[in-house]
Amino acid sequence: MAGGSPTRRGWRFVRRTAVVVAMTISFLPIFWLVSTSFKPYEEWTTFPPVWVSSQPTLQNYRIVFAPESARRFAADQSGSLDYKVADSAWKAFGDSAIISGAATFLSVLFGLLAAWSIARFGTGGRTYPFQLLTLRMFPPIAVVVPIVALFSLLRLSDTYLGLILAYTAFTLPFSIWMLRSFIDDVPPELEGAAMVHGLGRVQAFRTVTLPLIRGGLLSTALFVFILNWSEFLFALTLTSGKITTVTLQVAKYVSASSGTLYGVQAAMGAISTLPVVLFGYLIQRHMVRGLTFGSVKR
Amino acid sequence: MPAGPKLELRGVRKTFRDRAAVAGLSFTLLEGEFVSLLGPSGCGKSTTLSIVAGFVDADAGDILIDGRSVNAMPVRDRGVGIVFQDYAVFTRLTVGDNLGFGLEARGVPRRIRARKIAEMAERLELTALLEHRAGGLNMSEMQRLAIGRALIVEPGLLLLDEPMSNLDAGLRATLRSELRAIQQSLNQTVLYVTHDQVEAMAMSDRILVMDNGELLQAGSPDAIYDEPGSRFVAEFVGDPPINSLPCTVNASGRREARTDSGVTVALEARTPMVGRYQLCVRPEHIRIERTAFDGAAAAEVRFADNLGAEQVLHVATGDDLLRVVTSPGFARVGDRVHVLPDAAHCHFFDVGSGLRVESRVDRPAHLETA
Repeated sequence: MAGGSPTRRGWRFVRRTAVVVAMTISFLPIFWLVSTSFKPYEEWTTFPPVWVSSQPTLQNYRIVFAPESARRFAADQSGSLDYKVADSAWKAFGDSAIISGAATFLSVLFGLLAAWSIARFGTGGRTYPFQLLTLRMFPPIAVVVPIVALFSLLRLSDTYLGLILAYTAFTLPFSIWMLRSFIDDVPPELEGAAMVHGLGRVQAFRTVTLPLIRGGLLSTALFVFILNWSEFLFALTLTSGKITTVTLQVAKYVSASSGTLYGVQAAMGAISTLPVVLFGYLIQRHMVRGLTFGSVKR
Repeated sequence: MPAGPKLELRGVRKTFRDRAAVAGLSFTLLEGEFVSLLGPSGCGKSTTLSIVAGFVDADAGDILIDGRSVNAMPVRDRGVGIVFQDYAVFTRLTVGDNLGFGLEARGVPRRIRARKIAEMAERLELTALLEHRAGGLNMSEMQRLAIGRALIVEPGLLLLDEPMSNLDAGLRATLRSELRAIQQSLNQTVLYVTHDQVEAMAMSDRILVMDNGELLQAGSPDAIYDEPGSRFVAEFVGDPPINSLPCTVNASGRREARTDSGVTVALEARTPMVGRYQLCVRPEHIRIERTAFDGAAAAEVRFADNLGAEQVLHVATGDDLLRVVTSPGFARVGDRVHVLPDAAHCHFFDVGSGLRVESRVDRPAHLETA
């Protein structure tokens, strides 16, 4: 309904202004990223800034996916960029997909088992979940040196398995915490009722609780996947050339003569957010349901 | 019918981080018996139920169903049905699928399943709702569904965990009698956990009163009401609550119990007890008159609760406030009255232990506790 008292209209104005401000703050960097990815070299760092390029180019994207042909192409064109990257970003996307996908799967799988055990059987005592979280109170930089040493000793450096294990270990506390809260929302009586009616303990969990927390499970997977996909420090320190992730690839677009290749980085950044956005879009329906299901009145 | 007990607990204990939730509990349920486990919240009654169902393992003691120990038996093999306080119906399934859940899990063929679901739905008046999602039911329908889902597999033992606490008072009264009728028609053995003494009194063959993880008294509702074994049981059971006053029994002169506010109750001459006691007497066991009578204490009406069929007066004598049940309109606030507890129905409890002290030598035989 339009109208209402002046006070209410005033509040509505304040609320809507706040929303607009918040949206601007959230979306401006994304807009800037996409906009820059289409800008030619000259417009990357000019002042006053160019918001939307008048001569949009796909050159940045060519450099990302086909650096050699882009080099030949650039020779014919006016702008010539000096960049050393010869590898196409496809390799980085593939590696990141394998590592983030596998690590997310393992993290959520182990997280689910641990969360069930903690939520239903009080495993580890009352303070155990908190102890798990304190593992993450150390910044990764504090543990990265011993991990590098340990991994080279175990010959896990620069292997898929090594990064998968590192990512799984580092996201597991989050998985456990998130999943535990979702399992806590499902009354244990539901599993009890299923058990009384002839199901085993695990079977009861699988057929009764698991479908109810599907939204939570997918939300947790998305969250963990984003952490893995955007991880940089471990990827940097635990690889030495054989494996490249998207975050490492972004950092490679630097040249001696032209400095940081912002346009190319923006193109790489824009593409690398797509899988995450797509994943989020696909599970959106379940996430909403996951947050609103009401099973039993408490 | 087997002569042995359906369910037997022997010295069952369960401790949760230093606190004994169940502290050495032993009792039996006979086939077809409706037994209530009555006690305040946190007394261990729900833990006991979980132990019987198998959700929680006891630290010590034995649980026997049909004479066989089920200590190590998984939940699904114990042959128990359960109805939870929140019903725990599967809200995403239809009413029919909920009813058939146990049958399907046990591999009962579809045709037999359908017949049994139809029968149970008929009995519980859920037939019109069979295709509805259980999530849309109201509380009463959910409760009936939960009971039906538990009963359809014909469990040897039905466990009910405060199944009425989400319902309003009117519905509760109706469902009490319905539940009792179903139980009797099926000769179903029931262990009913509740903190509501009215429910326990109304439905049970026997009541087990629990507090702090211990069994305080077991007996028929009448025995629990008329012959409470301890001050706790006396004060917990009964509505309006029992009057509970400290009193003194003198060694010399006439044998009488005298409360601190001056109400005296004549005791039998042979009564051996002397000293300080807690005197408990039910509101309906106090004689009340408008005019003075022999032995009565003068009192003034402070509050009057009109309950329709009867009236509960709160009368003050000295520092004490006594609840007395009278007929409606007997007296109004401010009226002067005279009261005298009925000596035959006064209960005395030890001040320290709270245990019953026998005041009368000849106890009526029908009050013997089971």
